[in-house]
Amino acid sequence: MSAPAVAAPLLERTDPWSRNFPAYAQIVRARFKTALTYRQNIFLFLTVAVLQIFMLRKVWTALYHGQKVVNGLPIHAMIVYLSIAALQLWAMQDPGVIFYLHSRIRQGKIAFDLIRPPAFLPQIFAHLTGSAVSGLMFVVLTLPVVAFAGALSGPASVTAALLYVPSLLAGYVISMLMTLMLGMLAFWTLQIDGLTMLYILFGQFFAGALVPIPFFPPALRLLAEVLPFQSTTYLPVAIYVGRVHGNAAMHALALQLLWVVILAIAANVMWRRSLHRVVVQGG
Amino acid sequence: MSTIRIAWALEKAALRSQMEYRLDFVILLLMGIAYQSSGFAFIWVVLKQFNTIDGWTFHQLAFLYALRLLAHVAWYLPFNQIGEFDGIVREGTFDQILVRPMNPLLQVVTNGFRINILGDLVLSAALFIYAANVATVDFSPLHVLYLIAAVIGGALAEGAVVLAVATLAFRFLQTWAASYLADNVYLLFGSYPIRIFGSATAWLFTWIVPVAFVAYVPSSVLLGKTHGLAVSPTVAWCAPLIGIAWFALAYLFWNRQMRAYQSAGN
Repeated sequence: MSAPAVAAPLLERTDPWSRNFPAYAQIVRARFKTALTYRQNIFLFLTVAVLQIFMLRKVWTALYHGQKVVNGLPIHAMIVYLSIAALQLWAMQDPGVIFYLHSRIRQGKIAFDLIRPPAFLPQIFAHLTGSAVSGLMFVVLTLPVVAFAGALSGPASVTAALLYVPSLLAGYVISMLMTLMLGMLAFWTLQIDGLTMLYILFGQFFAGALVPIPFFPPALRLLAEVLPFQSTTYLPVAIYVGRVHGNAAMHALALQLLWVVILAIAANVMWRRSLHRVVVQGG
Repeated sequence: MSTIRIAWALEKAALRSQMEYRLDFVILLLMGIAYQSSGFAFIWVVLKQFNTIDGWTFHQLAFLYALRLLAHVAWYLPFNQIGEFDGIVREGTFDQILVRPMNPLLQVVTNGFRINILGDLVLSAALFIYAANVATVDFSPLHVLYLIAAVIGGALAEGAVVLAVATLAFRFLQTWAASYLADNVYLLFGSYPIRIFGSATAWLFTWIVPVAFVAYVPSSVLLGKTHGLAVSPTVAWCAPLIGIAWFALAYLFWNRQMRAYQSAGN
């Protein structure tokens, strides 16, 4: 059987979403259960994230050195920004799903995932959603500690609150699409764990979690504005604390939507290429 | 003397075995560099806008960061395997080690090699050369001697915590959580003037967990900034001794626990 002949049925799936929904729901539930089982590990990682929030708060307070507002961001809003950005990024960047995907590919068990009735990309998306939901749960549980280590407050205004929700959602989808593509890289190279680590470090910086984007030096700022990372964390949280409001907020949402579309197309293209590669290698 | 020769031979073998995997080697090296330099990138970016933090300029902070990295590498280059100790106890390999006629800690330490520390080494050398040039340090013979002593003392201070955490493996079997936490405490707080974290935290990281004595105090001495310290200049000059003292304590703790482990019939 030629490669295209094998790949075709896998690509031209016609099973409707609704038929396989119970399967996706089960995957989300299973991810959730896994998170609960490993809750001690998760709380440990969260502890380090909280320590980092504390460190950032103290460093930025020292940097501000008594100034009330810098770059349009008052000191209190800055600390709230750092606290929420850190939590948001932590909940989004769970490498567990990526490592699971990589190990399935390495072991060849990915073949079973590919021939199952539910389509492959939605399966992985279900994994990522489960991981995101359980991440959010842990974040909510940790809020009291974060209020103490950093600072927390409500959204800057009613508009900010209303715009934050779709912005956060878009940020999540963008992050998931990028994670998906990072996972698919495992179809091409075995040296994927190192790349994952580098992606997490690079992503954390350009998402604006350590330094809000307006504070970047001009050249880096330009780079940050053309990359999708700022759409995962900086834009939603900046809307929340009111740094980005009015027309700028609408532009931000539009930009996020654009990235969702671009990355969805890119992920699909990458998926088709990956599938051909899997089939050709006989895996 | 032969112990040293044997230990060195084992260490070289461990390094050779790790370098078999060429591409892995390069990637781990890069990861080491990326991981440690991200903290420095942060400092560089924010100080472009703000110029100083707690009265420290970028060049002075670069020196502080470089010194911390130097001490970090000075510990982890020879002793990176101590982090694997809880696995060795869990798998029962330690019992084999106890039977052999060589210091058990030395055996654990020469058992393998973590390649990413070589990345840290490259970065720390480059960063220190840069920082030594731009920061106003008077490299008099006395200061150079102090610098060397401070790097060793700083390595031992961080090492004391690492060893103490590893010793917990005798009782708790799984210590990666504590060691992960300890690693991150040094990574997050070690490269800043400890004062900015508030007096309680600063005290904690000076006298309970020896973070400040690794790089902040020694670089204050070398940069002539001892007036900003919470400790007297005399104590600051004795920073290396404090590191040695901490390590001696940790080693005593290790020996104590190891004898208890042995006498339990293992």
